Amino acid sequence: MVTTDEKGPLTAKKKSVIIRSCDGDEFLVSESAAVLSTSLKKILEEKEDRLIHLSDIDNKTLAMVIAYLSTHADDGLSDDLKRSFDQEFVSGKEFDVLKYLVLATDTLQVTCLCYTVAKKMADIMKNKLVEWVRREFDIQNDYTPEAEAEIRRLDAWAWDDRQLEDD
Amino acid sequence: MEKTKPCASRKRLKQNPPLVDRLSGLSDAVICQILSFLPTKLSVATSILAKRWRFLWTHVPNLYFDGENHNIINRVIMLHKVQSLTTFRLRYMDNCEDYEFETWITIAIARNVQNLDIRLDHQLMLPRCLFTCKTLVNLTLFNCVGIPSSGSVSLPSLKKLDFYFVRYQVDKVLPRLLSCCPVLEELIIDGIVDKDLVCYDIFSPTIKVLKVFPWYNGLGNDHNVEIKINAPALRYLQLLDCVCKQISAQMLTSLIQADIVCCCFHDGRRDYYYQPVVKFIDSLCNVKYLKLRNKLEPDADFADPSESIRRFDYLMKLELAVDWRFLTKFLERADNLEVLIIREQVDGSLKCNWMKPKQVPTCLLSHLRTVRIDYFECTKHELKLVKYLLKNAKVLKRMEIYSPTHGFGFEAKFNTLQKISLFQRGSEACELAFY
Repeated sequence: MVTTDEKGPLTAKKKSVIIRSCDGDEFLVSESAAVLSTSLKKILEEKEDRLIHLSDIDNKTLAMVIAYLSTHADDGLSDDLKRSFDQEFVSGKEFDVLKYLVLATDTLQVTCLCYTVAKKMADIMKNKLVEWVRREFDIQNDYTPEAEAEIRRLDAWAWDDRQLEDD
Repeated sequence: MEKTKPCASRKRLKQNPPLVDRLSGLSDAVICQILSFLPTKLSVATSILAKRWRFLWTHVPNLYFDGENHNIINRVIMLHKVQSLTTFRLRYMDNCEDYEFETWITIAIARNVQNLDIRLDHQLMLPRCLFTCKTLVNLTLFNCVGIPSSGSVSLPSLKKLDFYFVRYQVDKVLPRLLSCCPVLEELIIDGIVDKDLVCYDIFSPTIKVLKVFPWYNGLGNDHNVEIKINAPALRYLQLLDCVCKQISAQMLTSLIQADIVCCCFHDGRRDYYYQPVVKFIDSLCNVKYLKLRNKLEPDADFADPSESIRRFDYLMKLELAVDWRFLTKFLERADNLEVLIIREQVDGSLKCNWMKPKQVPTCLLSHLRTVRIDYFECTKHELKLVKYLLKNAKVLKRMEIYSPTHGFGFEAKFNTLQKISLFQRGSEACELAFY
């Protein structure tokens, strides 16, 4: 199924691409928006196919990314408006949602979106504990206790005000 | 281009597929992007997370130091592996030797730094190589010395230059420095004037934004500051605390917005302005948005702001906190004025200089839509002004009047409102709001 908004029939006349999420939903996107993603641009250059299947991005995340790409491809919007859109885009989003977004930008290679999402993730990370970061970033602590103690000793200054401190 | 608005599937409402937490699969580049927004200290702290993270921080393109001691800065810089440094920020409170500071800056430059932000607690000498850096785009200096007055200077990529409390020989150094920045777009000078005579000679064919805030040392030589501006590409100008006697501007042909504080002398009855200040205001005649405020000074030569003959044809929004003779002047000369805001003045007593224009100004007949008056104390002169505007502004949509928060009781407010609401209105559609 192809979903478009009311402007669908009009925009369909323009060069556009259909992108399918891993759960089968399809989105009609203008080519000018799609090529803001380095990966999509490469795919479009390599083959004529107007249907791109993304096996590791779900529909919710893809809808957000496409909304972002379409806004940034809109020549009618000033840079200031795009900047405030960016802020609005990540404000209030849970870390879980940002996780999907950052993974999607890593796959799709969208530099400006990666910047915006990474900034928001860094803001959330700032006051978190080591265990929180390990859990949220899916990090297995593979240090031996001795090795970890050694690092703590060498760069003791980096933990002296209890930021990123252990639980 | 038409916008293609995607929307989620209407047919099926799906759950996200069972989530395998894949953040562990993020590329190093993306992790470094996240770390690049953290202070370097926190970025180093992530080395404790796991072996993969041990030295990830050394690939982060930014270094943000904030109060670390010199040994730590040395260690971090030595371990750091990035060849293209985006930002090097140093907020430094400790004591270090000149040679150490020089080493850090030299390394940053060797690593092609683009943004350099140096804020020192005690003055250190800037190394000369800073002023021939090819990659530098933004430079912020706070409390530094050593802007070279001789030798080669070349900053071919520099777009933004911020000087805060930087000590240098303004007269000699500033024009030279500006002439060596061929793509400079923004200049901020927030500085101390500690000499008998200082001339800010700001000549740049490329700057679009200029903010100048001269501070004074209180030695009584404040008036010896001179400002000369020649900036044909300038779009935004902010001059605050501009108490200088000598100010002049040429070629402000691209100017769209200006925010000016000008000095005047007040003798209890009226304000006096320096002739150059009044002339300078005339040179802003291409602006669309103008904010003009007063700063009272102990003495000033007389100049009547209403004398000038310049027209302000593009002015759409005007914000005034100055002698009301300026108001008459602008009403008469800004035919396209749409929004007028009259702010509270330094000592409130300057409102007595409202003089009716000889004939009804064009802007009142065809353009003025919004008027806002702050700190309305219901004096005779204020009422006269409001009466005049309400009667003659033919397309006015809204007039907002704000009374002082203190010493103006409900009854006084009510009486004033009653009085004003009886005034004749030239525009039937005009709303009156009284706060």
